[in-house]
Amino acid sequence: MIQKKICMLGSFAVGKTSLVARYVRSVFSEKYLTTIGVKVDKKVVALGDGHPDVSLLLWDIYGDDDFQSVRPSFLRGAAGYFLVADGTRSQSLERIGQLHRMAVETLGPVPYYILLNKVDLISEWVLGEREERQLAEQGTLIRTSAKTGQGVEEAFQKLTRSMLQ
Amino acid sequence: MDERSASLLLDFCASQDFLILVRATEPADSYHIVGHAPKWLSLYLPAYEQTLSESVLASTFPFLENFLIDAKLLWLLGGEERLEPAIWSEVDQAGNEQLLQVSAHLVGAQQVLFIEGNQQLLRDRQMLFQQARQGELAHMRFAQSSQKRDILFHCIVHDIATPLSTLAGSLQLLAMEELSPRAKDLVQAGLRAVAKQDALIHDVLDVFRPDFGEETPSTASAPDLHACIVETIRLLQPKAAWRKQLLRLESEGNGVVRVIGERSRLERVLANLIDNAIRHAPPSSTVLVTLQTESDVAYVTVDDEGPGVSKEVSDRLFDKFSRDRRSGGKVGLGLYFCRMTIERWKGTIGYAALPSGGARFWFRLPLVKG
Repeated sequence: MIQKKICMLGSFAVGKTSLVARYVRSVFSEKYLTTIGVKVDKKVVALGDGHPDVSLLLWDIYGDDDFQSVRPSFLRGAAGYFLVADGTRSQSLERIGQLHRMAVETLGPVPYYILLNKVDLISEWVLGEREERQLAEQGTLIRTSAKTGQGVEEAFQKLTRSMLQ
Repeated sequence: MDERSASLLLDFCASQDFLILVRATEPADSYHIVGHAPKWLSLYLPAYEQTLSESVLASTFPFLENFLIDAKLLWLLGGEERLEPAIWSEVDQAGNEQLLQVSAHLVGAQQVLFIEGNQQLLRDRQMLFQQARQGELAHMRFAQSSQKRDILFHCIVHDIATPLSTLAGSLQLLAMEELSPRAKDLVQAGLRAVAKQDALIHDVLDVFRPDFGEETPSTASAPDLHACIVETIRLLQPKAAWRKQLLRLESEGNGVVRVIGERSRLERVLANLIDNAIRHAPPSSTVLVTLQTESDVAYVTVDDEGPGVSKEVSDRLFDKFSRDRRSGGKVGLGLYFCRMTIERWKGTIGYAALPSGGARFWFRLPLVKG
Protein backbone atom coordinates (compact mmCIF):
# COMPACT_ATOMS: atom_id res chain seq x y z
CA MET A 1 0.00 0.00 0.00
CA ILE A 2 1.23 3.48 -0.79
CA GLN A 3 2.10 5.48 2.30
CA LYS A 4 2.12 9.28 2.38
CA LYS A 5 3.03 11.66 5.17
CA ILE A 6 0.97 14.81 5.65
CA CYS A 7 1.93 17.60 8.07
CA MET A 8 -0.55 19.87 9.83
CA LEU A 9 1.02 23.31 10.23
CA GLY A 10 -0.35 26.44 11.80
CA SER A 11 -0.47 28.67 14.84
CA PHE A 12 -1.67 27.34 18.19
CA ALA A 13 -5.39 26.82 18.80
CA VAL A 14 -6.36 26.99 15.13
CA GLY A 15 -7.79 23.48 15.26
CA LYS A 16 -5.12 21.22 13.73
CA THR A 17 -5.64 18.46 16.28
CA SER A 18 -9.41 18.80 16.00
CA LEU A 19 -9.28 18.54 12.21
CA VAL A 20 -7.28 15.30 12.45
CA ALA A 21 -9.62 13.97 15.15
CA ARG A 22 -12.62 14.80 12.97
CA TYR A 23 -11.09 13.16 9.93
CA VAL A 24 -9.65 10.04 11.60
CA ARG A 25 -12.10 9.38 14.40
CA SER A 26 -15.15 11.51 13.46
CA VAL A 27 -15.10 13.20 16.84
CA PHE A 28 -14.92 16.78 18.07
CA SER A 29 -14.40 18.30 21.49
CA GLU A 30 -15.05 21.93 22.43
CA LYS A 31 -12.36 21.70 25.10
CA TYR A 32 -9.06 23.22 24.08
CA LEU A 33 -6.06 21.09 25.01
CA THR A 34 -2.85 22.45 23.61
CA THR A 35 -0.51 20.19 21.69
CA ILE A 36 3.09 20.51 22.84
CA GLY A 37 4.65 17.80 20.73
CA VAL A 38 3.96 15.80 17.64
CA LYS A 39 1.16 13.33 17.31
CA VAL A 40 1.22 10.82 14.52
CA ASP A 41 -2.09 9.36 13.35
CA LYS A 42 -2.84 6.93 10.57
CA LYS A 43 -5.75 6.59 8.23
CA VAL A 44 -6.23 4.44 5.15
CA VAL A 45 -8.01 6.27 2.36
CA ALA A 46 -9.89 4.56 -0.42
CA LEU A 47 -10.04 7.02 -3.28
CA GLY A 48 -11.84 4.75 -5.71
CA ASP A 49 -11.74 5.46 -9.46
CA GLY A 50 -9.05 2.83 -9.86
CA HIS A 51 -6.71 4.57 -7.47
CA PRO A 52 -4.88 2.35 -4.99
CA ASP A 53 -5.67 2.73 -1.30
CA VAL A 54 -3.37 5.17 0.44
CA SER A 55 -2.15 4.95 4.00
CA LEU A 56 -1.87 8.47 5.36
CA LEU A 57 0.55 9.28 8.17
CA LEU A 58 -0.85 12.46 9.67
CA TRP A 59 1.72 14.49 11.58
CA ASP A 60 -0.15 16.85 13.86
CA ILE A 61 2.59 19.28 14.86
CA TYR A 62 2.31 21.65 17.84
CA GLY A 63 1.28 25.21 17.12
CA ASP A 64 4.01 27.54 16.03
CA ASP A 65 4.18 30.52 18.37
CA ASP A 66 6.51 32.55 20.56
CA PHE A 67 6.86 29.61 22.93
CA GLN A 68 7.61 26.82 20.47
CA SER A 69 8.90 26.97 16.93
CA VAL A 70 8.27 24.16 14.51
CA ARG A 71 11.44 22.33 13.55
CA PRO A 72 11.89 21.96 9.81
CA SER A 73 13.11 18.40 10.34
CA PHE A 74 9.60 17.38 11.43
CA LEU A 75 8.48 18.01 7.85
CA ARG A 76 11.05 15.64 6.40
CA GLY A 77 9.50 13.08 4.11
CA ALA A 78 6.11 14.78 3.88
CA ALA A 79 4.38 14.43 0.54
CA GLY A 80 1.96 17.25 1.31
CA TYR A 81 0.84 19.60 4.05
CA PHE A 82 -1.97 21.74 5.31
CA LEU A 83 -1.51 25.31 6.46
CA VAL A 84 -4.26 25.88 9.00
CA ALA A 85 -5.57 29.31 10.01
CA ASP A 86 -8.39 30.39 12.28
CA GLY A 87 -10.77 32.91 10.76
CA THR A 88 -11.48 34.39 14.18
CA ARG A 89 -7.83 35.21 14.85
CA SER A 90 -5.90 37.43 12.54
CA GLN A 91 -2.64 36.49 14.24
CA SER A 92 -3.02 32.93 13.02
CA LEU A 93 -2.74 34.26 9.46
CA GLU A 94 0.70 35.66 10.18
CA ARG A 95 2.09 32.20 10.75
CA ILE A 96 0.79 30.88 7.46
CA GLY A 97 3.34 32.83 5.43
CA GLN A 98 6.23 31.90 7.70
CA LEU A 99 5.33 28.23 7.84
CA HIS A 100 4.74 28.11 4.12
CA ARG A 101 8.22 29.48 3.45
CA MET A 102 9.71 26.93 5.82
CA ALA A 103 7.78 24.10 4.17
CA VAL A 104 8.87 25.14 0.68
CA GLU A 105 12.51 25.39 1.80
CA THR A 106 12.32 21.97 3.44
CA LEU A 107 10.12 20.02 1.06
CA GLY A 108 10.25 21.86 -2.23
CA PRO A 109 7.11 22.15 -4.33
CA VAL A 110 4.82 19.52 -2.81
CA PRO A 111 1.02 19.83 -2.74
CA TYR A 112 -0.59 21.83 0.05
CA TYR A 113 -3.88 23.49 0.91
CA ILE A 114 -4.73 26.37 3.20
CA LEU A 115 -7.49 25.45 5.59
CA LEU A 116 -9.47 28.38 6.92
CA ASN A 117 -10.89 26.68 9.95
CA LYS A 118 -13.78 27.46 12.31
CA VAL A 119 -16.20 28.35 9.55
CA ASP A 120 -18.96 27.45 12.03
CA LEU A 121 -17.93 30.68 13.81
CA ILE A 122 -18.00 32.80 10.67
CA SER A 123 -20.02 35.53 12.38
CA GLU A 124 -17.00 36.05 14.66
CA TRP A 125 -14.41 36.08 11.88
CA VAL A 126 -12.13 39.06 11.80
CA LEU A 127 -11.04 38.06 8.34
CA GLY A 128 -12.65 40.17 5.64
CA GLU A 129 -13.19 39.29 1.99
CA ARG A 130 -10.11 41.21 1.00
CA GLU A 131 -7.94 39.36 3.51
CA GLU A 132 -9.39 36.05 2.39
CA ARG A 133 -8.54 36.89 -1.22
CA GLN A 134 -4.99 37.81 -0.20
CA LEU A 135 -4.71 34.51 1.65
CA ALA A 136 -5.98 32.66 -1.39
CA GLU A 137 -3.10 34.16 -3.38
CA GLN A 138 -0.78 31.99 -1.31
CA GLY A 139 -2.53 28.75 -2.16
CA THR A 140 -5.85 26.99 -2.67
CA LEU A 141 -8.09 27.77 0.22
CA ILE A 142 -10.70 25.49 1.75
CA ARG A 143 -13.07 26.62 4.47
CA THR A 144 -13.35 23.97 7.16
CA SER A 145 -14.99 23.29 10.46
CA ALA A 146 -13.68 20.53 12.68
CA LYS A 147 -16.85 21.02 14.70
CA THR A 148 -19.38 20.39 11.95
CA GLY A 149 -17.08 18.47 9.63
CA GLN A 150 -17.59 20.97 6.80
CA GLY A 151 -14.82 20.74 4.25
CA VAL A 152 -12.72 18.29 6.27
CA GLU A 153 -13.20 15.13 4.22
CA GLU A 154 -12.96 17.19 1.04
CA ALA A 155 -9.65 18.73 2.13
CA PHE A 156 -7.97 15.43 2.93
CA GLN A 157 -9.33 13.81 -0.24
CA LYS A 158 -8.06 16.67 -2.38
CA LEU A 159 -4.62 16.65 -0.82
CA THR A 160 -4.36 12.88 -1.12
CA ARG A 161 -5.29 13.01 -4.80
CA SER A 162 -2.83 15.84 -5.39
CA MET A 163 -0.06 13.84 -3.74
CA LEU A 164 -0.68 10.92 -6.09
CA GLN A 165 -0.40 13.01 -9.24
CA MET B 1 34.10 12.85 29.95
CA ASP B 2 35.98 9.61 30.54
CA GLU B 3 34.34 6.25 29.97
CA ARG B 4 33.87 5.46 33.66
CA SER B 5 32.17 8.80 34.38
CA ALA B 6 29.98 8.38 31.33
CA SER B 7 28.99 4.91 32.45
CA LEU B 8 28.15 6.13 35.98
CA LEU B 9 26.09 9.00 34.58
CA LEU B 10 24.09 6.70 32.34
CA ASP B 11 23.45 4.24 35.18
CA PHE B 12 22.21 7.07 37.36
CA CYS B 13 19.86 8.39 34.68
CA ALA B 14 18.56 4.90 33.99
CA SER B 15 17.53 4.69 37.64
CA GLN B 16 15.46 7.90 37.21
CA ASP B 17 12.74 6.39 35.03
CA PHE B 18 14.47 7.31 31.77
CA LEU B 19 14.77 4.84 28.97
CA ILE B 20 18.40 5.16 28.00
CA LEU B 21 19.47 3.62 24.76
CA VAL B 22 23.09 3.46 23.69
CA ARG B 23 23.71 2.87 20.03
CA ALA B 24 25.39 -0.50 19.60
CA THR B 25 28.12 -1.24 17.13
CA GLU B 26 26.93 -4.82 16.79
CA PRO B 27 24.41 -5.66 15.51
CA ALA B 28 24.18 -2.65 13.26
CA ASP B 29 21.24 -0.27 13.74
CA SER B 30 20.47 -1.48 17.20
CA TYR B 31 20.33 0.14 20.63
CA HIS B 32 21.28 -1.34 23.96
CA ILE B 33 19.09 -0.54 26.99
CA VAL B 34 21.18 0.83 29.84
CA GLY B 35 20.25 -0.65 33.23
CA HIS B 36 16.65 -1.63 33.80
CA ALA B 37 14.10 -0.34 31.33
CA PRO B 38 11.45 1.85 32.97
CA LYS B 39 8.07 0.27 33.61
CA TRP B 40 6.34 2.47 31.08
CA LEU B 41 8.18 0.76 28.20
CA SER B 42 6.03 -2.34 28.68
CA LEU B 43 2.95 -0.21 27.94
CA TYR B 44 4.17 -0.13 24.34
CA LEU B 45 6.36 -3.23 24.14
CA PRO B 46 5.01 -6.02 26.35
CA ALA B 47 8.08 -8.14 25.61
CA TYR B 48 11.50 -6.94 24.61
CA GLU B 49 15.15 -7.88 24.67
CA GLN B 50 17.92 -5.83 26.24
CA THR B 51 18.88 -4.75 22.73
CA LEU B 52 16.27 -3.11 20.51
CA SER B 53 16.64 -2.93 16.77
CA GLU B 54 15.98 0.36 15.04
CA SER B 55 13.10 -1.21 13.13
CA VAL B 56 11.43 -2.24 16.40
CA LEU B 57 11.89 1.26 17.76
CA ALA B 58 10.52 2.85 14.59
CA SER B 59 7.51 0.57 14.37
CA THR B 60 6.71 1.04 18.07
CA PHE B 61 7.36 4.77 18.04
CA PRO B 62 6.95 6.05 14.45
CA PHE B 63 8.04 9.52 15.53
CA LEU B 64 11.50 8.18 16.38
CA GLU B 65 12.16 7.17 12.80
CA ASN B 66 12.33 10.86 11.92
CA PHE B 67 14.17 11.88 15.07
CA LEU B 68 16.86 9.25 14.59
CA ILE B 69 17.91 10.82 11.29
CA ASP B 70 18.83 14.01 13.14
CA ALA B 71 20.34 12.06 16.00
CA LYS B 72 22.62 10.11 13.66
CA LEU B 73 23.68 13.36 12.04
CA LEU B 74 24.60 14.72 15.45
CA TRP B 75 26.55 11.58 16.30
CA LEU B 76 28.28 11.56 12.94
CA LEU B 77 29.27 15.21 12.82
CA GLY B 78 29.89 15.77 16.54
CA GLY B 79 30.30 19.41 17.51
CA GLU B 80 27.08 19.77 19.43
CA GLU B 81 26.76 17.49 22.42
CA ARG B 82 23.01 17.15 22.32
CA LEU B 83 20.02 17.41 20.04
CA GLU B 84 17.22 19.50 21.50
CA PRO B 85 14.54 17.38 23.19
CA ALA B 86 11.42 16.66 21.19
CA ILE B 87 8.06 15.73 22.65
CA TRP B 88 5.58 13.47 20.97
CA SER B 89 2.45 11.67 22.02
CA GLU B 90 1.93 7.99 21.66
CA VAL B 91 -1.06 5.75 22.24
CA ASP B 92 -0.09 2.79 24.41
CA GLN B 93 -1.43 -0.73 24.05
CA ALA B 94 -4.27 0.03 26.45
CA GLY B 95 -5.40 2.85 24.17
CA ASN B 96 -4.22 5.68 26.45
CA GLU B 97 -2.43 8.64 24.99
CA GLN B 98 0.87 9.38 26.70
CA LEU B 99 3.51 12.04 26.24
CA LEU B 100 7.13 11.07 25.69
CA GLN B 101 10.23 13.17 25.27
CA VAL B 102 13.39 12.15 23.47
CA SER B 103 16.78 13.77 23.23
CA ALA B 104 20.02 12.62 21.65
CA HIS B 105 23.42 13.06 23.26
CA LEU B 106 27.06 12.30 22.92
CA VAL B 107 28.14 11.07 26.34
CA GLY B 108 31.85 10.56 26.08
CA ALA B 109 32.12 8.53 22.92
CA GLN B 110 28.73 6.90 23.41
CA GLN B 111 25.82 7.73 21.19
CA VAL B 112 22.85 7.95 23.49
CA LEU B 113 19.10 8.44 23.33
CA PHE B 114 17.29 9.61 26.47
CA ILE B 115 13.56 8.96 26.46
CA GLU B 116 11.50 10.35 29.29
CA GLY B 117 8.09 8.94 30.08
CA ASN B 118 7.30 10.64 33.38
CA GLN B 119 3.71 11.67 32.70
CA GLN B 120 3.49 13.98 35.68
CA LEU B 121 6.42 16.09 34.51
CA LEU B 122 5.35 16.14 30.90
CA ARG B 123 1.71 16.94 31.70
CA ASP B 124 2.83 19.72 34.02
CA ARG B 125 4.82 21.14 31.17
CA GLN B 126 1.82 20.84 28.87
CA MET B 127 -0.29 22.72 31.43
CA LEU B 128 2.24 25.56 31.49
CA PHE B 129 1.96 25.91 27.72
CA GLN B 130 -1.81 25.60 27.98
CA GLN B 131 -2.03 28.44 30.48
CA ALA B 132 0.31 30.65 28.48
CA ARG B 133 -1.62 30.09 25.27
CA GLN B 134 -5.02 30.49 26.88
CA GLY B 135 -3.76 33.74 28.37
CA GLU B 136 -2.65 34.93 24.98
CA LEU B 137 -6.01 33.96 23.46
CA ALA B 138 -7.89 35.85 26.17
CA HIS B 139 -5.70 38.91 25.74
CA MET B 140 -6.13 38.82 21.98
CA ARG B 141 -9.93 38.51 22.22
CA PHE B 142 -10.07 41.41 24.63
CA ALA B 143 -7.85 43.56 22.42
CA GLN B 144 -9.84 42.70 19.30
CA SER B 145 -13.17 43.46 20.88
CA SER B 146 -11.86 46.66 22.45
CA GLN B 147 -10.39 47.89 19.18
CA LYS B 148 -13.55 46.98 17.29
CA ARG B 149 -15.51 49.19 19.65
CA ASP B 150 -13.09 52.05 19.10
CA ILE B 151 -13.44 51.66 15.35
CA LEU B 152 -17.21 51.56 15.65
CA PHE B 153 -17.10 54.72 17.70
CA HIS B 154 -14.89 56.43 15.15
CA CYS B 155 -17.05 55.32 12.24
CA ILE B 156 -20.20 56.57 13.92
CA VAL B 157 -18.68 59.98 14.50
CA HIS B 158 -17.24 60.44 11.04
CA ASP B 159 -19.34 58.31 8.74
CA ILE B 160 -22.78 59.03 10.15
CA ALA B 161 -22.69 62.21 12.19
CA THR B 162 -20.83 64.27 9.58
CA PRO B 163 -23.32 63.65 6.70
CA LEU B 164 -26.10 64.24 9.19
CA SER B 165 -24.75 67.73 9.92
CA THR B 166 -24.68 68.44 6.19
CA LEU B 167 -28.23 67.19 5.86
CA ALA B 168 -29.40 69.39 8.73
CA GLY B 169 -27.66 72.43 7.26
CA SER B 170 -29.19 71.83 3.82
CA LEU B 171 -32.68 71.49 5.24
CA GLN B 172 -32.27 74.65 7.28
CA LEU B 173 -31.17 76.53 4.16
CA LEU B 174 -34.08 75.05 2.27
CA ALA B 175 -36.48 76.21 5.00
CA MET B 176 -35.37 79.79 4.32
CA GLU B 177 -36.49 79.55 0.68
CA GLU B 178 -39.94 80.48 -0.62
CA LEU B 179 -41.75 77.22 -0.19
CA SER B 180 -45.33 76.08 -0.38
CA PRO B 181 -46.96 75.27 2.97
CA ARG B 182 -46.80 71.58 2.08
CA ALA B 183 -43.05 71.80 1.25
CA LYS B 184 -42.41 73.71 4.50
CA ASP B 185 -44.11 70.93 6.46
CA LEU B 186 -41.95 68.35 4.71
CA VAL B 187 -38.76 70.31 5.46
CA GLN B 188 -39.74 70.61 9.12
CA ALA B 189 -40.48 66.89 9.22
CA GLY B 190 -37.02 66.29 7.74
CA LEU B 191 -35.39 68.55 10.37
CA ARG B 192 -37.21 66.77 13.17
CA ALA B 193 -36.00 63.39 11.83
CA VAL B 194 -32.43 64.72 11.64
CA ALA B 195 -32.65 66.00 15.22
CA LYS B 196 -34.00 62.64 16.34
CA GLN B 197 -31.22 60.79 14.52
CA ASP B 198 -28.63 63.16 16.01
CA ALA B 199 -29.97 62.45 19.49
CA LEU B 200 -29.80 58.72 18.80
CA ILE B 201 -26.17 58.98 17.75
CA HIS B 202 -25.31 60.86 20.90
CA ASP B 203 -27.05 58.16 22.92
CA VAL B 204 -24.83 55.57 21.24
CA LEU B 205 -21.75 57.71 21.85
CA ASP B 206 -22.68 57.95 25.51
CA VAL B 207 -22.64 54.17 25.72
CA PHE B 208 -19.08 54.11 24.44
CA ARG B 209 -17.89 57.20 26.29
CA PRO B 210 -16.90 55.47 29.55
CA ASP B 211 -14.50 53.24 27.63
CA PHE B 212 -13.42 55.90 25.21
CA GLY B 213 -12.66 58.66 27.66
CA GLU B 214 -12.94 62.37 27.18
CA GLU B 215 -12.14 63.98 23.86
CA THR B 216 -9.46 66.14 25.44
CA PRO B 217 -8.17 64.60 28.63
CA SER B 218 -7.80 66.85 31.61
CA THR B 219 -4.28 68.13 32.23
CA ALA B 220 -4.87 67.50 35.91
CA SER B 221 -4.68 63.76 35.29
CA ALA B 222 -1.89 63.94 32.69
CA PRO B 223 0.04 60.63 32.78
CA ASP B 224 3.77 60.29 33.30
CA LEU B 225 5.02 59.04 29.95
CA HIS B 226 8.26 57.74 31.44
CA ALA B 227 6.36 55.65 33.99
CA CYS B 228 4.01 54.33 31.28
CA ILE B 229 6.98 53.20 29.17
CA VAL B 230 8.67 51.54 32.15
CA GLU B 231 5.45 49.70 33.04
CA THR B 232 4.80 48.57 29.45
CA ILE B 233 8.37 47.32 29.10
CA ARG B 234 8.02 45.47 32.38
CA LEU B 235 4.90 43.69 31.07
CA LEU B 236 6.44 42.80 27.72
CA GLN B 237 9.86 41.87 29.05
CA PRO B 238 9.00 38.12 29.42
CA LYS B 239 7.89 37.93 25.80
CA ALA B 240 11.12 39.57 24.62
CA ALA B 241 13.18 37.35 26.90
CA TRP B 242 11.48 34.29 25.48
CA ARG B 243 12.66 35.36 22.05
CA LYS B 244 16.09 36.08 23.52
CA GLN B 245 15.67 39.75 22.67
CA LEU B 246 16.98 42.64 24.67
CA LEU B 247 14.21 45.15 25.37
CA ARG B 248 15.57 48.35 26.82
CA LEU B 249 14.76 52.00 27.40
CA GLU B 250 17.05 54.93 26.79
CA SER B 251 15.76 58.07 28.40
CA GLU B 252 17.22 61.50 29.01
CA GLY B 253 16.51 61.03 32.66
CA ASN B 254 14.32 59.20 35.08
CA GLY B 255 12.19 62.20 35.90
CA VAL B 256 8.48 62.61 35.37
CA VAL B 257 7.45 63.49 31.80
CA ARG B 258 3.80 64.53 31.94
CA VAL B 259 1.98 64.57 28.63
CA ILE B 260 -1.54 65.15 27.34
CA GLY B 261 -3.34 61.82 27.38
CA GLU B 262 -4.94 59.16 29.47
CA ARG B 263 -2.78 56.55 31.15
CA SER B 264 -4.46 53.27 30.16
CA ARG B 265 -4.79 54.33 26.51
CA LEU B 266 -1.25 55.62 26.41
CA GLU B 267 -0.03 52.26 27.72
CA ARG B 268 -2.06 50.51 25.02
CA VAL B 269 -0.41 52.65 22.37
CA LEU B 270 3.01 51.81 23.79
CA ALA B 271 2.12 48.12 24.09
CA ASN B 272 0.97 48.04 20.46
CA LEU B 273 4.20 49.60 19.21
CA ILE B 274 6.59 47.62 21.42
CA ASP B 275 4.79 44.31 20.90
CA ASN B 276 4.87 44.97 17.17
CA ALA B 277 8.65 45.48 17.35
CA ILE B 278 9.16 42.31 19.40
CA ARG B 279 7.12 40.24 16.98
CA HIS B 280 9.00 41.43 13.93
CA ALA B 281 12.52 41.57 15.36
CA PRO B 282 14.70 38.50 14.97
CA PRO B 283 15.77 36.46 18.01
CA SER B 284 18.80 37.74 19.92
CA SER B 285 18.30 41.29 18.64
CA THR B 286 17.52 44.49 20.52
CA VAL B 287 14.27 46.42 20.71
CA LEU B 288 15.15 49.93 21.79
CA VAL B 289 12.67 52.43 23.19
CA THR B 290 13.86 56.02 23.57
CA LEU B 291 12.23 58.99 25.29
CA GLN B 292 13.32 62.58 24.75
CA THR B 293 11.75 65.95 25.33
CA GLU B 294 11.89 68.73 22.73
CA SER B 295 10.78 72.14 24.04
CA ASP B 296 7.02 71.54 24.32
CA VAL B 297 6.68 67.92 23.17
CA ALA B 298 7.81 64.46 24.28
CA TYR B 299 9.30 62.27 21.57
CA VAL B 300 9.21 58.46 21.78
CA THR B 301 10.81 56.04 19.34
CA VAL B 302 10.56 52.25 19.17
CA ASP B 303 13.29 50.69 17.04
CA ASP B 304 13.66 47.07 16.03
CA GLU B 305 16.18 45.14 13.95
CA GLY B 306 13.54 43.38 11.90
CA PRO B 307 13.08 43.50 8.12
CA GLY B 308 11.41 46.91 8.14
CA VAL B 309 8.36 47.83 6.10
CA SER B 310 8.20 48.27 2.35
CA LYS B 311 7.48 51.76 1.00
CA GLU B 312 4.20 50.57 -0.47
CA VAL B 313 2.98 49.32 2.89
CA SER B 314 4.47 52.11 5.02
CA ASP B 315 2.34 54.71 3.24
CA ARG B 316 -0.80 52.97 4.51
CA LEU B 317 0.49 51.64 7.83
CA PHE B 318 -1.71 53.80 10.02
CA ASP B 319 -4.84 53.50 7.89
CA LYS B 320 -7.92 51.67 9.06
CA PHE B 321 -7.61 47.91 8.38
CA SER B 322 -4.14 48.38 6.93
CA ARG B 323 -1.79 45.47 7.54
CA ASP B 324 1.87 45.41 8.15
CA ARG B 325 2.76 42.66 5.71
CA ARG B 326 6.26 42.15 7.02
CA SER B 327 4.97 38.85 8.29
CA GLY B 328 1.30 38.95 7.65
CA GLY B 329 0.44 41.69 10.13
CA LYS B 330 -2.20 41.69 12.83
CA VAL B 331 -5.79 42.65 12.36
CA GLY B 332 -4.92 46.04 10.91
CA LEU B 333 -6.43 48.04 13.73
CA GLY B 334 -3.53 48.32 16.16
CA LEU B 335 -1.62 51.07 14.39
CA TYR B 336 -4.86 52.75 13.39
CA PHE B 337 -5.84 52.83 17.04
CA CYS B 338 -2.43 54.37 17.88
CA ARG B 339 -2.90 57.11 15.30
CA MET B 340 -6.48 57.85 16.39
CA THR B 341 -5.42 58.10 20.01
CA ILE B 342 -2.25 60.16 19.52
CA GLU B 343 -3.88 62.57 17.08
CA ARG B 344 -6.85 63.06 19.40
CA TRP B 345 -4.35 64.25 22.00
CA LYS B 346 -2.89 66.72 19.46
CA GLY B 347 0.16 64.56 18.90
CA THR B 348 1.76 63.07 15.79
CA ILE B 349 2.78 59.52 14.97
CA GLY B 350 4.75 57.95 12.14
CA TYR B 351 7.10 55.37 10.74
CA ALA B 352 10.65 55.71 9.46
CA ALA B 353 12.94 53.10 7.98
CA LEU B 354 16.20 52.86 9.89
CA PRO B 355 19.42 53.12 7.86
CA SER B 356 20.47 49.77 9.36
CA GLY B 357 17.36 48.13 7.87
CA GLY B 358 15.11 47.94 10.91
CA ALA B 359 11.89 49.78 11.63
CA ARG B 360 11.29 52.87 13.72
CA PHE B 361 7.84 53.80 14.98
CA TRP B 362 7.65 57.15 16.72
CA PHE B 363 5.17 59.56 18.25
CA ARG B 364 5.16 63.02 19.75
CA LEU B 365 2.79 64.26 22.45
CA PRO B 366 2.41 67.73 23.92
CA LEU B 367 4.05 68.15 27.31
CA VAL B 368 2.02 69.32 30.26
CA LYS B 369 4.08 71.93 32.07
CA GLY B 370 3.92 72.66 35.73
